[in-house]
Amino acid sequence: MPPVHQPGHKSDGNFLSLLAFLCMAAIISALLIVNYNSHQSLQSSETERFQHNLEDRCRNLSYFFSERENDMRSLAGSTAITGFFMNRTMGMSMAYGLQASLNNIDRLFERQGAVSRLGGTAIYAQLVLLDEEGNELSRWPEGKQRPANPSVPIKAAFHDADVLMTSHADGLVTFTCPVSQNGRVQGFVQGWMRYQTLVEYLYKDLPGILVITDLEQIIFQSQPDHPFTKEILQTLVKGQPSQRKISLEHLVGTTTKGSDKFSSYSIFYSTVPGYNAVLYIIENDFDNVLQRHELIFMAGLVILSAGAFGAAALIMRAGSRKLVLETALVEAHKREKAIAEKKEELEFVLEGAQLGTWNWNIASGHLEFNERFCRMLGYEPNELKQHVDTWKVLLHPEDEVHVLAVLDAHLAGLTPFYSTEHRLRHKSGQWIWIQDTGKVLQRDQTGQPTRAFGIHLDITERKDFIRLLANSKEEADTIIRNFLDTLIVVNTSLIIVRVNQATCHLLGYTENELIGRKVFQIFHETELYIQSIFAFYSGQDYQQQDDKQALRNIELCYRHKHGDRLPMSFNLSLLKDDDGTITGVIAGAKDVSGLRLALDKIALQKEYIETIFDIVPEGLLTISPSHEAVKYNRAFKHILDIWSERLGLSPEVCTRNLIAKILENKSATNTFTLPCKHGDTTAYFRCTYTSISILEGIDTVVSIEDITSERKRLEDQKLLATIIEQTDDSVLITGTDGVISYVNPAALKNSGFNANELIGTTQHLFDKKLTETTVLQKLEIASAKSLTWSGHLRNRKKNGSLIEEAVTLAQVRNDEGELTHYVVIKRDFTEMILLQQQLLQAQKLEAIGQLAAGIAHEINTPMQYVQNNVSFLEQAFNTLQHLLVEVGRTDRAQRSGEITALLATIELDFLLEEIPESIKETHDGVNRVVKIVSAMKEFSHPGGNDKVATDLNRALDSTITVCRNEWKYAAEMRTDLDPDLPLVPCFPDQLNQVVLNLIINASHAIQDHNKLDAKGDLGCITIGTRTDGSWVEIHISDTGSGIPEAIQQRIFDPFFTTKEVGRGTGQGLAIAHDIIVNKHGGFLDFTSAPGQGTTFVIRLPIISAQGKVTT
Amino acid sequence: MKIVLATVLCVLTLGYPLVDIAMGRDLKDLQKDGVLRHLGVPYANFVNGPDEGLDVEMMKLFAAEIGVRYEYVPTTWKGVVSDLIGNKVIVDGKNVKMGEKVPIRGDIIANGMTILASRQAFLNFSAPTFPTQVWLVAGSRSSLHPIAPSGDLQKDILLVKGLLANKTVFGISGTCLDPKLYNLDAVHAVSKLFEGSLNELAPAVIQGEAETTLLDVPDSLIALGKWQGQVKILGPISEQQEMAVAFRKDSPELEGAFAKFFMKIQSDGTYVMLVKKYYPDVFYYYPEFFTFKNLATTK
Repeated sequence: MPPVHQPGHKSDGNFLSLLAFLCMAAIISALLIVNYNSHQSLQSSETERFQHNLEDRCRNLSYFFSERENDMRSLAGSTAITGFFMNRTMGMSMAYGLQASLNNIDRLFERQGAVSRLGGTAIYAQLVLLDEEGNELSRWPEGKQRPANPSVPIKAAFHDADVLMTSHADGLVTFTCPVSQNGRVQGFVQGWMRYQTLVEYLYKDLPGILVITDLEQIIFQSQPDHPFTKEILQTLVKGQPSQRKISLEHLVGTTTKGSDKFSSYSIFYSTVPGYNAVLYIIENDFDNVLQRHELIFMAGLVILSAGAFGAAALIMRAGSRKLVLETALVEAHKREKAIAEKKEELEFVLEGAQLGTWNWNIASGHLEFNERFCRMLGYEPNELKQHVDTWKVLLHPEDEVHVLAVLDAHLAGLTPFYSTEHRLRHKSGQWIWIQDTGKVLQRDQTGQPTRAFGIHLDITERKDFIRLLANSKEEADTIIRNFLDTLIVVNTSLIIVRVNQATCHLLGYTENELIGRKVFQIFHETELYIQSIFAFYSGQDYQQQDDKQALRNIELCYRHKHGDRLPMSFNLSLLKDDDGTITGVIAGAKDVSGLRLALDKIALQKEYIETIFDIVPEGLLTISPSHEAVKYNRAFKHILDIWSERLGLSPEVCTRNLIAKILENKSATNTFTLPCKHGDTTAYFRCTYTSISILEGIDTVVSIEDITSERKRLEDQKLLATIIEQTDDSVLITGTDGVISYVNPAALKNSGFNANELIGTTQHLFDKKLTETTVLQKLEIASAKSLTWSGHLRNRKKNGSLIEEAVTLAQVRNDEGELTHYVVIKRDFTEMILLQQQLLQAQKLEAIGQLAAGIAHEINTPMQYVQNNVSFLEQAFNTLQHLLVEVGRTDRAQRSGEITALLATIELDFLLEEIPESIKETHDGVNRVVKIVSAMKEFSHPGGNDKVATDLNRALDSTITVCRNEWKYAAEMRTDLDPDLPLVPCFPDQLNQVVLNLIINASHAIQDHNKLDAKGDLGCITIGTRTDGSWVEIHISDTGSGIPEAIQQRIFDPFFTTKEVGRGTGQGLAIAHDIIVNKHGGFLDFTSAPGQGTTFVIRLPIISAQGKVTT
Repeated sequence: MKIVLATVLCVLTLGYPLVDIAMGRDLKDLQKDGVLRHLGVPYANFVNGPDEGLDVEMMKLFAAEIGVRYEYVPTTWKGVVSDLIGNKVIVDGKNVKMGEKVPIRGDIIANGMTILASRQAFLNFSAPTFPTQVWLVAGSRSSLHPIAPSGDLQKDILLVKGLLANKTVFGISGTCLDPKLYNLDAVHAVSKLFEGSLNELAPAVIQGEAETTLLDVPDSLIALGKWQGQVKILGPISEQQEMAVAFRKDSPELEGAFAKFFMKIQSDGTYVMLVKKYYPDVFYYYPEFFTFKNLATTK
């Protein structure tokens, strides 16, 4: 109901109208502010995005330029160009070969031009080769007009950069690279390019005017009719951030007239990294799409507001009754109409703004709300009771108190309007956030509010977003703040925009000192390197959608405020805005100094282990679970080389074979021996393998040892042991106390003792009683001096027989020089001594024989004279004897007186009787001498190596004669020789020796017997021969004392004698036995009866079983 | 009579291969056998193998033109002539004598063979197919310096020969690179006969096996490209020469067919395209050669 205009109420009505106006204005203003703010925010983001885009374009341009530089370098270093200059330097002429080089360059340029394209357009307008003076040598494309005269490059300009980029005012840019040979510039390669080509391909989507400047000038602008100058641009942007708003007059430097309705511009700019170029984008605000939208919307809202304001003003203006009445009616109509329209507009606005409305009759509590109010809560309009209690019921309990308090405050007039954000329960049970704004529109006379109006705006999403944002921010803040590791956030300009406390604490800075600082300033690495890390996304080949979004485990070194080095391991992640545009990176770092130390330590230990692995003398090989060789040490390599060389296989094949062998043996034993034969030698290797599971990638470790030496040593030991065991020499080992600890089989055999009788004793090494004192002394001296002693010792066998031994006594000492053992090596020399003596005797006899032969010859000759003369004398005397007898028979008277006197003095009869006797005795004597000499000669005749068929009777006769002096005083010699005895094959000298010994023994036996009996009678020695089948026997009997039964078994033993010293060495019978039995294959036996005598019997075979027989 | 006839027939039948060995084949024989046997010696870009080379491609086109299959028969410079004519040829400078008979292995020689008077005694050459000249080439390290062209070829040749006093120069006997053809003894050059292939001359000189080598223009251009900066052209040692395809004296039909074919590929530009492909630089050096024959030059 329209208020009734009464004077008293006029002011109230106006006041209410004013209030309504103000309320509307406030609401609309609030809407405009909210909308403006949101659009501003959006525009700001858009602007920032545009700037980043521009910066990316600049980086792309930088990359593009660097690629062009690379093209030039590549061309300058190409074989065609360098070859041409080399050919030219060598003096080749165009007529003879140099032109061909140049043609190659033409073709090279053509190829380069063909491949260097942007889309379908060639990048290069021209490629030129110049000599060092700048004269053109080659050009591509030929035939086209040159875009510009090639500028002569100045050699001095190339001292730093090897490719010189030069921009020209006409929109051309050249890249010039020198061609150097031997340190001297020979020429230049130059590529020409138009910026237009570049811009059309890369920047045509950029809005506004694109201007590119270098240090000197504007080198490109997309709209040349806008007369910007470089100086103005530089002045405008100097010290200013990108996107600076500016007027056209300022932009062009002069006052402009004309139809530029929108004379406001925004300048965006960015430098091209690495190049003296700046890209400017100059955009007029009219072109700004966002602003246009905003303007349109703003215009609409303003219009709407103006309409509302106008309606309110009309209401306020209505003053006079009539006018009021009429006007009121009219106005009322108008107002109603207007209100209806406004309501419609408002509805339109509210519809557009998705606002719910409520209209509250405070007194009655009736709360009228529109459809959107209900739908906002998920209800249909008719589902909610239009009462304020409905709202109160839907209020969140946590918000109720605050909301009602605010409402009450406003109702009480304490606040100009009511506005809260609270939750209402949606029909689905969820809570939605509502921006509740309202105002009391009417109050009664007491000032109590009667009607209020308000709007609901569902801000649930916003609240959720804000909450999420706040949560995220809080979470991020918490994370960042509480992150134990350092964290920094760097924007695309590589400026630190955020740090956490850990970073500040680590580096010694405050947060304010770090924020805004260039990131490279807090690192020890070079700026370029830090840039490459923190701007890794700006690399030439980086594609945002495909390439990595993070870098991991980058080791960098923080610089403490005091300059200390802090090694850290960084993980960097890209930060992007809602559009996906990169806004910077966030870098978290972990102090790896400890880790580095640990890693260094581990590396050291690893190196140590690897060194040990490598220097271990045994070969080591590790094998993977897939049976592949993983690693081996030097010693294994050495062994592998030996195998490879010996077997003629490659090291890889040898390794595989070894692994196969290990797999074969794996289940059986973990050690085996590998022989490796090469020629006549075989090397042996002991392989020991162990399965391990503690190292990943390694299943088995194999140790390989060259045991060739060890094996050889064992074989040598075995050989030595075999030699000791098999030798005929006795080997005994004793301790330092002389106690026998080892005897070899020969010691047992030679001594006749068994091992138990020898081991553990000391007394059987040698018989001290039989050892001369001097020998013992020498033995002790040698032992004291740790010398090896060698000599002859006499010992007894277990059976008591004597043996002569050659003994070597050596000391064994350990590595410390301490005596540990004695080694005694004994060789039985008995037989050898016997043989030596036999030999000596034989030599003596031979010498005697030779002497005897000489003596015999010497004696025989005079004896022959004597014998002949004696025979003559005998014959002559026989003749004279007749004369003398006849003279003796003549009458004294008939003899002369002289003859008678002579006869009286000579004793003729005595002479006649004695002279023949003397002659006969002389004859006998001479015959005896001749016989003795002959016998001696025959006895001592040296034998040969062959048996001789010998007349034994004659030999015996000779021997008897020779040794007559030995037996004639003791015994009578009788012989009983078989006259038919056949010749017997024998060694006559040796046999004579045997018979001689037996005769002498027989004589000694008789002498001994006579002494015992104290008789002086001669005994009897009888020598006889006879034939017994195929044998011949020689008997030599004596009537001596006989051989006691106790010693009969030993008489043939060497050195056994019963005679006193000097009378016999005990070797005669031993030698005789040896000669008869071993040399002649015969027998030497005896029979003896004590007190009666002994008979020795020699049996010789008539047919020799061995050897040659000479006759 | 029958016996005589049978005998004659047998001789003809059995002796045909012998006849073939002795007398070779002409166009009809080729067409009957269905194959053109191209004797190819790998040399420069004339013959790079059975599938590549200026002459290889030209021969393939020729074979197709006469309706036969193409067959590449590899041979050597020493044996290529005898493989065509069926006789060993002993060349001593400008003197040639025939040796023993050998089997004929090919029908046509096309591998950058220079027309020499000595060769014309036993071969028929087609119209010149390619220009050439013999240049003197040295390694880059050689102390010899390229001549400054005087504009007069004779003078240039003298200047070049003047460089060779007591210098070693490689050549290959029996070819256009035979030192005896250029009277090098008169300038006291020390000629060395190279036993390897033509393609190996340049690397041999680079290795220092000789101070210089004779090399014809096509091979020189190849060497310049292959051994950039390692060889240098000192100058010309001969007048301009020409290369052609070679035929037996007794294959006139084949020779005529080739002449016709060559005219065709010249006029339709096929030959120029082949030359451009393999010897793009030759047009600069011998523009007259190709212009005279109505060939389009590339520069």
